[in-house]
Amino acid sequence: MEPILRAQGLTKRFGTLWANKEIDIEIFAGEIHAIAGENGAGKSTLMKMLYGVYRPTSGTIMVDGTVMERWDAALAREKGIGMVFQDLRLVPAFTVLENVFLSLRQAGWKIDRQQLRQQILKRAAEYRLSVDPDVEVWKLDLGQRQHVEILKILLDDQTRIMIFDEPTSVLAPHEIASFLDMLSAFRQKGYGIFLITHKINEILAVADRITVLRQGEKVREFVKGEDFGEMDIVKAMIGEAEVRFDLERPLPEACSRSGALGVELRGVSVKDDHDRVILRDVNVTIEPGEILGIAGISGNGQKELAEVLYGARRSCGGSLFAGGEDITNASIARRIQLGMRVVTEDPVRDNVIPTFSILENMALVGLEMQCRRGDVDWNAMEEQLAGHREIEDLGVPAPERIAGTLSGGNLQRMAFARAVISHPRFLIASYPSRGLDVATVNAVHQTLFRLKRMGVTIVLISEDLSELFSMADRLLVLAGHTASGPYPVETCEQNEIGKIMLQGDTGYE
Amino acid sequence: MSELTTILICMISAGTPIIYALTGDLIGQRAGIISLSVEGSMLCGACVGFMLASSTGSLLLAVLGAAAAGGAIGSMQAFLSISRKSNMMTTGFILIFFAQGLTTFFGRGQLGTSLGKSFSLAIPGLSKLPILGPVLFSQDILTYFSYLLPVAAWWALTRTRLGLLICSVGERPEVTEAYGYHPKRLQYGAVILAGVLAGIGGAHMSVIYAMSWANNMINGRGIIASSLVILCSWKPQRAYMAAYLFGLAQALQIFFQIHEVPVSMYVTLMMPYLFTLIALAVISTSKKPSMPEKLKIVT
Repeated sequence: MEPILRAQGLTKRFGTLWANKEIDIEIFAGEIHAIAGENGAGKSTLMKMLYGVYRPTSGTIMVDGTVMERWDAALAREKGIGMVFQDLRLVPAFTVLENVFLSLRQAGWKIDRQQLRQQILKRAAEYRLSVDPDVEVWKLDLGQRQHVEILKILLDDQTRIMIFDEPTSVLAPHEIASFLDMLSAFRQKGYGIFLITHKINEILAVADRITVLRQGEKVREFVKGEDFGEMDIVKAMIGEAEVRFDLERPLPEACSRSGALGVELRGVSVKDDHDRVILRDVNVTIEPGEILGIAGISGNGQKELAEVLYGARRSCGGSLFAGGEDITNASIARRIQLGMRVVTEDPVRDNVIPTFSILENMALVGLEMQCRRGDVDWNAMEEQLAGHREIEDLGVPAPERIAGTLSGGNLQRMAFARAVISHPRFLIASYPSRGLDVATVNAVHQTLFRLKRMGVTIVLISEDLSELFSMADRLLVLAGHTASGPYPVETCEQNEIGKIMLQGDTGYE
Repeated sequence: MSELTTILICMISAGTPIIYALTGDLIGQRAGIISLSVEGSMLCGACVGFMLASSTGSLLLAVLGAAAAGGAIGSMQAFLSISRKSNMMTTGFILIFFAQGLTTFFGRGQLGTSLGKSFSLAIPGLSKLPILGPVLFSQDILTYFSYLLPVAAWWALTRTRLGLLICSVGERPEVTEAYGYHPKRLQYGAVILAGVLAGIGGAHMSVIYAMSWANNMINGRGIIASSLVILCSWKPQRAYMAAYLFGLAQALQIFFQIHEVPVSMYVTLMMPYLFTLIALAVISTSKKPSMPEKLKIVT
């Protein structure tokens, strides 16, 4: 049998980054092909190339055995490839019917509401999609919106291949089982399905074939019926992350714990931006002076947890204590007073004022105000800034540079350096080494250890198991709407942590 | 003719230019661009329309010229606020003052001249109906067309692909783009159309309603039309209500003056604004999003 779509040696480079390297992939009619891998493994890039959104740097794409000379999104749709994107592409103010109409070019220039309504209802009934054609999309929840997206693809008669990009991430746990049933129904009808996911139990439940990507490369392919288990997939996905031995963990005796701030979470629950509970009943005591690593695939509540700790988000249950004081409802100002600091995952958005220079940004927080004749003494401020050795260690650019013109990595350095010089007692560092070069990552790690020796409690949020295992004392794993652990690093295996991370939350049997 | 009929005739005539500018700007706002410059488009349309009507005597030429003049102002608004991403409010105001200067300069030869020709066109039969006949059907061709305009706009915006695309640009341009359409082209089209329609409305003011040209004769009607879009909650079918409400206020003001009714003209003229203010207050609290999302960012 000829595959509908086959790609060979597909490669995509963004500058110096190999997002995808020499990937061979194919899909047959009536097959569910899972693409598994951690975040950043290159799954979405691969699918976007197949869908024609990205142009491959090299490689060939064949449809029905014919090599395509030209390949773009319009042609991909013509050849029957439909994609359900992670960011659902709908106009909230329009009704379901109007959204479907916009996506169907062959529906003509004028809406035939009657006919389209009937088509929608017929397809919806066929696959048990709960969709009312005349309701506005803004009234629908994310799961229903996904149904509309799927309908758009189903109503296009040309569709033969469906690409689902992390489809279950927008679904509530009880919706996932019926979603997977729906995928099986599509398979029966002869559609070829690409399912991008990192949740192992979903893969095991429905996939006929599993391609595992890691760091842009295809590392394994499993075919249903072969002898493989959950752990094999986990190993293929996370690989063997190496623990860095060049980093010397500070000895416990070398650490002063007197100044550090301990934080305790009792039964804390948090809602995400879509008003759904993303973390339920988290109980953990963050000991003064420890480095607590937060492991987990991003999007499992890391951002929300950091915000709740820092007070930028209210918890929807439970209470928080810092050094014995109840800070559940305390303001951010109070937390800063207690010595809590944060470097968020997106410092460009959350941590700097783009039109200010680095020095001015540092003067807002971190540096002590020095005045001369009622005016800020900028020269003295600059000297004060230069006196902090972290500025040089971390490679923060010159103080007069405007923050908005810096690269993401440089901003990260600045935000990090600022948190470090502002006398923290408790530091939340979200992905502090993301997007930085090796030397700076090293400097960040050294600085974190120096802080630990000085007596600062650190919450380190990262997706990089190697970083977590090298740095943290204990690991808390976020997955499946809850936190597991904390597990002491010395006594646990990377694979175990990996397995908890990838477990998913559904319990789909 | 009864006094009621007179008031109603006056209401329709005063409301007609508003319908044009209002419908036009409503379409532009649905695409995410507010054209305060419809005031300027109306002025240019009034000036050019009057010049052509008095020199050629042709209403068709006058309307075409007015549409082109209004469209020219509209395309300036489009270029600045779409391609150059300038603040659309500021741009609109500057274009209004620009149009005032332009028309005052080029229209100075027309000052004080009268058209000496009426383009009224009573519809045989219908105009003989009691009350409604003279009110609705002894008007002129531009007024008759204005009866259809909001319905046509409603149909186009809700029933055709082009209309839905225009509305989608005002809501989620990235979605429009994802379907392979060009958000900016759609915006250009909508904003220029707003200028064209406002220009025609301006021609109605000078050629048919006043039958003369005076400096700055639009006197804020374009700005009113632009703000009445809010009163319509961006629904073209409500343009009748909004425009004739304004027309009625104008008619009553004249009526009160003639009959020395002790109500200040300023109070009657204030009414449409009061209604719009109330509409603004209500819209911001209602849950249903009637305002195009892109406008929420600028307003």
